Amino acid sequence: MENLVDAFAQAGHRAELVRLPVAWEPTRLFDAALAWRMVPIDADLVVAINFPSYFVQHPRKVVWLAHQHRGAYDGADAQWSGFAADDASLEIRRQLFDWDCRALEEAERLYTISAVVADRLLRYNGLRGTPLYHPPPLRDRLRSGPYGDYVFCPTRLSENKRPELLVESLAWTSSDVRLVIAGAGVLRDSLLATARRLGVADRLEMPGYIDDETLIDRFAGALAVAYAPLDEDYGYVTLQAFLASKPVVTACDSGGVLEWVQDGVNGIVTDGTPAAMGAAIDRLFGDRDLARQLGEAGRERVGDQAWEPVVNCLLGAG
Amino acid sequence: MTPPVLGLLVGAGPTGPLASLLRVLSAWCRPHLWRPGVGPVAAWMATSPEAAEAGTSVRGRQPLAVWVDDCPALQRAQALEGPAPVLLTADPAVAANGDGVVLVPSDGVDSTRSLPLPPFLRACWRDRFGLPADLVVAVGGPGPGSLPEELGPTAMALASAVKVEAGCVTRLLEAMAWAAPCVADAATSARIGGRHGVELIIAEPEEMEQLATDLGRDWRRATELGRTARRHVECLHDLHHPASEVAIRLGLADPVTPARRMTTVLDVLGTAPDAEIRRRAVAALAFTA
Repeated sequence: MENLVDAFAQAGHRAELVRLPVAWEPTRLFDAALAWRMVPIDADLVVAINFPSYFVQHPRKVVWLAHQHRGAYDGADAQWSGFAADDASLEIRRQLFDWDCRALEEAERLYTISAVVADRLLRYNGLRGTPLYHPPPLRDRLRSGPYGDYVFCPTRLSENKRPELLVESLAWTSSDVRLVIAGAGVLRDSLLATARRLGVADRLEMPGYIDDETLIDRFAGALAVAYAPLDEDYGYVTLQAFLASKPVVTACDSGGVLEWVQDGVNGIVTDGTPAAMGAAIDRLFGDRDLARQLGEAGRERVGDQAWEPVVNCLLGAG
Repeated sequence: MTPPVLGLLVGAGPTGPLASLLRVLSAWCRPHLWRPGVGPVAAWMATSPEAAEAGTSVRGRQPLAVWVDDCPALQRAQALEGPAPVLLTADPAVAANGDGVVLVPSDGVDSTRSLPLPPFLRACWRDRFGLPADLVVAVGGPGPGSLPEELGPTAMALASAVKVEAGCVTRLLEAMAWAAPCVADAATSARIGGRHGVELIIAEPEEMEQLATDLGRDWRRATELGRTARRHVECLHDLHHPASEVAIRLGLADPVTPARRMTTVLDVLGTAPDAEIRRRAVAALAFTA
């Protein structure tokens, strides 16, 4: 969102980011949404990105949807959702569906960050949004480099990002490839324990949170990027990998990642099993030319991405 | 607290959609056909300017609503003695001819009595009750296999899709108010301005079962149709809003005040009457009392 503010500024507009805190427990979900209804916004245009900010009231509201509160929709069965299959939960989800529809219908234009989010919006809310793609962070700083001996994945260490799949896939490789997973999260200890159990701890590096310079270096020196989240909204990591000319190894159920990765063109799309992921990684480790070819195709795929068309669309000028 | 009495002055001629409106108005008052001995009346409603005229001696200067069928009746109502009446009509042309005339849909339902349920939640509810994933329900006229009237709302809320029997306009509107994916014939749909592929699926009777089954399985299409169907009812066939406006203007309900702004915000979002967020919002504003 900061990048969007910068993009508006570069286009000569004054933009400010407005945030409100949110409580995620189901019984308090509506509090922040209601608060947004009452926030007075003096602006020529308001761009709302995600739940609950799109509840803001403004005569010129444009929604560029990153996601609704997925815990009430497709994520209801996940442990993190907070919802159960009881009457009270179903009514909260119904109420949120109704509120979401009405708030989103107010928008003069409705965009989504990806086709995956647009499809989810249609399936769950019956609303049509237009995908509007944007560049990832560090777009102008990511660079290519040698195709080294490690596969890289910068990600939050949480259930939906499936970092354990990557650790398990390492156990299915027969090469000396290493795996670097950078990021923080609740799964850190269990990932390390899994690596020890599978006998791959010596080939796994988990540096935790890394700064931008280190991130850029890690992308540049990687053989490939392994990124296989479950039904991702968009997937900055994919685009960052391509900007660094690295191929992406992913899974067939990774959502927004698959809008960019084409099997055999700029990456490898597996069936999502550790064995298949491991085999894909081995294939690239044994064929650096293939890794380069796929990576350069990835670079071509995203090379033209820019903020200007996004700004123009949101302003209604594009 | 006993609700206020709305005295009814009934004249000759059809009452049209007034009966439906009165059912919804009973949320705020007790409609009572006037006769001597009824007791104190808080406001009056006349089925025509002539009925209002005939009741002049009993209604005095109390608030009055008058039903008008056409522009001449509108003019006669505007000429009645006493405070300016609230004028009601089902004719948009008549409503456009007078200031503040309340337009009452000739085919209407109380949209607050049904809560929009999208397919993904209908599926959850069917699962909870052990109902099949494909549950096409036929609603409408009497006949073998028809659901009892009292089961109608439940069926409309849980069904994967609803088939509406020919001519059953009110049942169609009720199903649409539940955001149910609906299949109906062309004539019934035309009565309420329903468009094929926008608010519902229009089909010949022999095609309806299969189309309804297919629609119930296509969540994207069903969700979109159900959502637009609900909006269609809210915008063009809802009795609650004209009823609440009449109730406020007759002094039977609390007027909208600044203190009720939060409640209004919640109403616009379609918040259920007993939703927890209403209680929380009131609690958050308790310091202003």
